[in-house]
This record gives sequence, C-alpha cells and structure tokens, in this order.
Amino acid sequence: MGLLDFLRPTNANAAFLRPYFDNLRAGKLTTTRCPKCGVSLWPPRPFCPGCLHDALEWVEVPPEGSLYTWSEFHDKRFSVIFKVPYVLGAVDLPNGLGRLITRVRAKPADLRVGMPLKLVVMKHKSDNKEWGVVEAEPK
Amino acid sequence: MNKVAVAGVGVPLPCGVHKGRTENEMAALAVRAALQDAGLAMADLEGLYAPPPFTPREPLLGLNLQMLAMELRLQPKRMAEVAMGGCSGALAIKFAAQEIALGNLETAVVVAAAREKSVTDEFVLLAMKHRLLPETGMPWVEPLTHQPFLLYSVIPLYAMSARRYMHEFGARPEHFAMAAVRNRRHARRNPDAAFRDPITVEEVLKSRTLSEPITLLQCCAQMDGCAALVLTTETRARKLKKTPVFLRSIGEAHDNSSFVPVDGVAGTVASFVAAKRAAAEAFKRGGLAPKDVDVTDVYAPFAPQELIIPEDLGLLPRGGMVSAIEQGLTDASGDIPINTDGGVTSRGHPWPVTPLYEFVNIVRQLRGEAPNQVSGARIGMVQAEGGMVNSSVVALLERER
Repeated sequence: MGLLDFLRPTNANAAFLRPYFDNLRAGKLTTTRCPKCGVSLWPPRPFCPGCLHDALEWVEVPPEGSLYTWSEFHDKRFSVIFKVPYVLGAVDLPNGLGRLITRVRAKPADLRVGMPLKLVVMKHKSDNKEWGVVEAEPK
Repeated sequence: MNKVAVAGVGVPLPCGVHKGRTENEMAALAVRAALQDAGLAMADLEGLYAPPPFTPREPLLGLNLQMLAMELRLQPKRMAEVAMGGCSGALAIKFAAQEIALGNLETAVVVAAAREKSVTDEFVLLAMKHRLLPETGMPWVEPLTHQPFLLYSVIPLYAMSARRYMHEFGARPEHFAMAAVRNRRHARRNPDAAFRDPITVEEVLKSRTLSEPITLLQCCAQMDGCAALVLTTETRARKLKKTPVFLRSIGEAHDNSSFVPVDGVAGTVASFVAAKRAAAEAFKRGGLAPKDVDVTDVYAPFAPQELIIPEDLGLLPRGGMVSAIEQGLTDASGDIPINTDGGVTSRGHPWPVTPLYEFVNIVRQLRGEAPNQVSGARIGMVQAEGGMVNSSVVALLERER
C-alpha cells in the first residue's frame, strides 16, 4: 500500500452527496435539479440557491461535452493513483450546465480547443473502496 | 474621512529560508523595522493587524497576534487577523486603513510572517508520512467540479488558464518564460529577493515540466519571509521623516467560482473577472485611469498569469502582453513597469506576506528608494489575489507632486 492509498474524495463524507458517489459507482454522472425552478445545478447542492427549495431531485448529466482547455500534467509528487504524464482537461458540459475538470484519455497532439468529447465513468480503488471517476475521451 | 498614509515599511530579512526562527520573532523584527523607517515608537501603535498564520497554531504555534502584542509590549486598542486566502494581507491593510479613515485609530501596523518553506519541509511532509492529515482527502479542498484523485495541485489549473490564453491570443510558452526572466532581472537588484542569479528563456523552458506549459522556473517560490507597514493619518504622516505615500483608493472583487464557472459556461480562464472588477473599482474611486499608473506590482502565482493579470487591470488591451513582454515594455526601464521587486517567482512567495511585499515595493518606488527605481514614479498600483484569482484586491497609492 502506497503512502497516499488511504485517500478518498474530500466530499465523500457529506450525507447529501451520497447519491452522487453511489450513482458514480453505478456508472452515472448525476447532479441536482430544482423541480420548482426547473433548473439543473452543477455541482450538486443541498438546496436551490435561486428559490431556496431543498427537495431537489437527482438527474443524469448527458455524458458528453466539449474541450475548453487542457494541460498535460507531469508532477508525480501530486499524482495519487494515476501515472504521469496524463492530460487534464476542462470540459464544458451540455446545455450550459457548467464545467468539469478531469482526465482526458488522449494524447496532447490529438487535442484541440472546442473538440467534442464523451464522458465515461471509470472505476478506481482507494481506501479499500471502489470509486467512480468521470473521465473524458475524444468522441 | 481621514486620508490614510503609509508612514513606514519594514522588511528586516530577505525572503528565503529561515529555519532557525519563529514566525512571531520574524513579525516582531518586521514591526521594529517599519517603526524605525517611520521614526515612530512602539507606544504610537494603536492597532495591530495581520493575515492569518500559515502554520497551524497547534502544535507549531505560527504567528499569534496576542503573543506578538505581549512580546512587543504593545497595548493595542484594536487587533485582528483578516483572512481571505491569498489576498488576506491586502485586506488587513484595507481594514486598518478604514479604521484610521473613520477616526477610530491614528496609527496602526499591519504585519505578516510565514515560514512556508521551512514549515512545509519540517511539518507537512512529516505529517503526510505519519498520516496525521485528515483521512478524508488532501489539505487542498477538492470541489466536486474537479474529479477526485486527479488534482492535488493548483498548478494544472493555472496551466489550463495558460493554454486557453495561448489559444485566444497566440501566446507561446516563450512568452511566459520571458515574464519569469524579467522577474529575475528585477530580483538581481533586490536584496530582499530569494532568487537573484540570472536565468534565460531557454533555461526556464528546459526546467522540469510540472504541468505544461508551466515549468519549475515559472512557479511562485514558496519561501519564508516577513514584512510590516505602518499606516497613519495624513496629519501625522506630514510630521514624520519619510515622504508620505497616500492610499488613494482600494477596489475589491470576488468571483463566485473556484476557477471553474459553476452556473453556466460563459466564464473564461484567459482573464480573471475579479481582478478586472477590483481594478475598475479602484480606478473609479481614485478618479484615475490605467494610463496614470507609473509602476505596478501584481500577484501572479505562475508566469502565464504575469501576462493575463496586467491586461485585466487595464494596463494593456486583451492579448497586448504578448508583444509587450517581447519588447520589454514591462521592465523597470519600460513604459509599463511591473513587478520591479522580482514578483512571486523570484522575490519569493510566502503567501501571507506577498501582498505586504508588494505594498512595500510600491511605497519604496513612490518615495524614490526602490532597487529598480522607476524615475519620477508618483502613482503606483498593487494587485493581490486569493483562490484561483477569483478574489482580488487592487490598491492605488500616490506621492504628492
């Protein structure tokens, strides 16, 4: 067991986020939607900041997006379960939902700003548990 | 409202590694140096302000204002730590200045001390080794917008900002390297700077890649350091030995994102909206325009942001820094001098102290006593940031004609 293998996501202990992590483990990226305003919120929230309603529903985020920007990461001191180098990208989610930062499974030479991507949920082990992590791939 | 002046500045130790000292000792030395510079006595200080300690209070103590007051034999009427990430030091100055402007205090000192380098070496690595850090994650807060296990460093976020700037304005990695080289050129003449040996664009580009296009020599240098500023009323400042430098205006803005715009995709990372709004507020309140500014210090955590932030401040049009850095326009001898003390990459970056270093440099510039003096500088600007530049403070300072 490596030095950092005990890590789990910083937010994993938040009760309201349990569905988020459970859904990821089941292979789906989800977020909260306010049924009163009809607005999807990214990232998930405990209540709607617009109308303060707190009975939010979980909805699936369409597993696609476009590449806003990226960087190839080389610093192994801060790489926990992934081998460097890997590409980190900022992905614009559909319908103006927001932006997601994650690994892009591609070579830097194959990347261009604005290219369409699909999102895939990969499984990774840490802290003796399986975690779902959303990654991106060229479409 | 009283006009507020900077009466004294103190940097008693160069930015560097100070393993054999405590934060409180370094803070006390900085207060002493600022008092000597102002020609004031300890008993003149009515307010004591600081950014929060970098070091966790337990078990290492770190900067502690109540103990510092005891050690200085100071009985402050007012005392506070002011905290908002990296711009805390600038907000501590703003808070102290407001107390003076309101007439609650006549003279106050703002001080910062941090052993970011030594404490990281001595404590953080040890704590990680023995798993003393919380098991719920790394000390860096991981927003849900960032997928877990991938990103325990802020460097890739700034690198992605750099990539986007390259895409929008045709900048190349060489341009970022030129900013690091400019900072080093300035640091060569600054005795308070941590890194003073000359470097070239090639050396910067060939140094270790952390997150491309950012290489090691484009990074802020976490270091140990301390600094203090004595603020007072206009009336009192005019009776003191040093030329008073007045705080003309302060702007402040915060963008509700942690680098990633959360409610919509309109946000850009090739520009920082908080820096833009803070500058606009400072210029409006001060009745000045960017063209009036003679010298500027920016808090740009990595070399690519050395190009982006001056544009946000209005010193250049969008994308204008690409040719400006090629032409040396932001050198101390150029038309738009920036970071004449060496900036965070070469002067060094104990983050709680950085905004104070910036104010100290601009005050020295306006007094005519800076290491890379801009001839005739009369209006100066300081920009400090927090978070992922989603907090910004911009201050305009002036010397009378």
